[in-house]
Amino acid sequence: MKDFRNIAFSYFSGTITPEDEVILHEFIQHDQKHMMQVWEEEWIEMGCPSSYTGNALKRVNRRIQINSFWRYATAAAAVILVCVAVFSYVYRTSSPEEQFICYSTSAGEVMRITLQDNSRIILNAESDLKVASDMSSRRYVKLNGEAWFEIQADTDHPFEVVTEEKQKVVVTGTKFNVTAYPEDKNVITTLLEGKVSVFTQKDTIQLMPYEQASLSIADKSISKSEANALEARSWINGDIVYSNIETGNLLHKLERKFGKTIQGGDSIDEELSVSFRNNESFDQIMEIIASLAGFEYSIDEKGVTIHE
Amino acid sequence: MIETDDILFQRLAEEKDREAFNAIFRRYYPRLRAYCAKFVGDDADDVAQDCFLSVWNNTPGYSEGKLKSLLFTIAHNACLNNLKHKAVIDFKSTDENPEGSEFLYKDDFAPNADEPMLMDELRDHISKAIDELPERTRKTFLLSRRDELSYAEIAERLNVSIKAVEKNISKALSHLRQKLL
Repeated sequence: MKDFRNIAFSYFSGTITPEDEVILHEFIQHDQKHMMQVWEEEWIEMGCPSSYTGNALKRVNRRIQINSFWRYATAAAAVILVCVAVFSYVYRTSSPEEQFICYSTSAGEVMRITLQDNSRIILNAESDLKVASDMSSRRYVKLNGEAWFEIQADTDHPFEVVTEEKQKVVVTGTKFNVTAYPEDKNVITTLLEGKVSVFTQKDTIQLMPYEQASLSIADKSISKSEANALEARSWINGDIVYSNIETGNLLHKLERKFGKTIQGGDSIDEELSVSFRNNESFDQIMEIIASLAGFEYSIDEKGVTIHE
Repeated sequence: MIETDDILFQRLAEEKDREAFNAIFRRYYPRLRAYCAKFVGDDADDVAQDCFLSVWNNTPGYSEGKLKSLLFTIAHNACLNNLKHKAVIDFKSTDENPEGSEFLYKDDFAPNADEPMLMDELRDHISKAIDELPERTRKTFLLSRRDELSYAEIAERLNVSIKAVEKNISKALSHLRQKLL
């Protein structure tokens, strides 16, 4: 009897061996005195979960905390968007051939732009967008950074988005996101609605909704994959949502969003999936990312320094 | 005097009581994790924790005597989904039987004794998805993934070009992805 009790305890503790599983199952078939129930209560009464379970519970509780913020978040995020918009500035510049209107955002800023043709563009932090000042002949913009596009349909006048890395996206009317920050390893175009063609020097790719094109800056090759287009536009609401992003790259995005300096994180290539939808503070986010990626850091007046 | 499953379950369902949640976690996490580990190996921690997170986020309605079977049913389905994802990547992996006995854990499912064994269910899902493929695509896929022939060998055996083999494989994968992800 003693033996079965021990085996039952190892079952409740999750440490049972496959052989004992078979033995215990046999026992339960003839357990007329309902000993399993008695032992289970005894095991619970002992009330000392392993540190393993304790740590797992801590992790789950932390994840619950992150999720529960977001009930209050949406309204707060809207207020912040209005505030940062005040800091936006617009200036004009001219070139011999073409006239452009230039829009530029600083760190932590998101700007909403409506073009002459009623297309809407939302520009992410530290990005530049040049828009051809005469859109009647050619709908044409140049992007450096990240922007979300909602383009009015006009089949006679395709809309072109050109990035530094010699990529051109041509559309008629659609919703899509383009990310082309200087430190990114890829220029990424993600489509939510409609259809787009992505041209590079070598190739052309057609995207259907929920697909994304990734142009490698290293070898200029372009590839297509399925993508969560809603995730790609989450930054518009102030959310920070990424799947399988390299920690170093994520830290760059945080610098940009919060206007902070983070040093020493470039070489952390561990991939993380994160979702901050609740207007969490920079400090909260750093703490969580540090615990996920397993690094330590310190904060002083110059910014964050990471000690691996 | 320990709090019964029913008391904890009721407090969780009706008051969204965090302490009750924690007590349930301590009570069942080790067992659920071990159950998950049988199937998903190293992913067991993540899968089991996701189960509890989903219990908290989509608080289920209270139902007397149902806590244990509810938890195991959630874990069962979470494992199944995890394995389906893997099956698309590595078809062979589903052929391996998990070690030990799943029956013991089934005793904790008591009210759902009819529920099929997890691996049987998975194989069933996959073979259904494969059966839906057009004949030639299905043959090509099985020769490649089940019999582990190279594309050149398949091309020779089916008397088609290597390009055609590649095309059929990618067609099969995209179908399975759609069905199993």
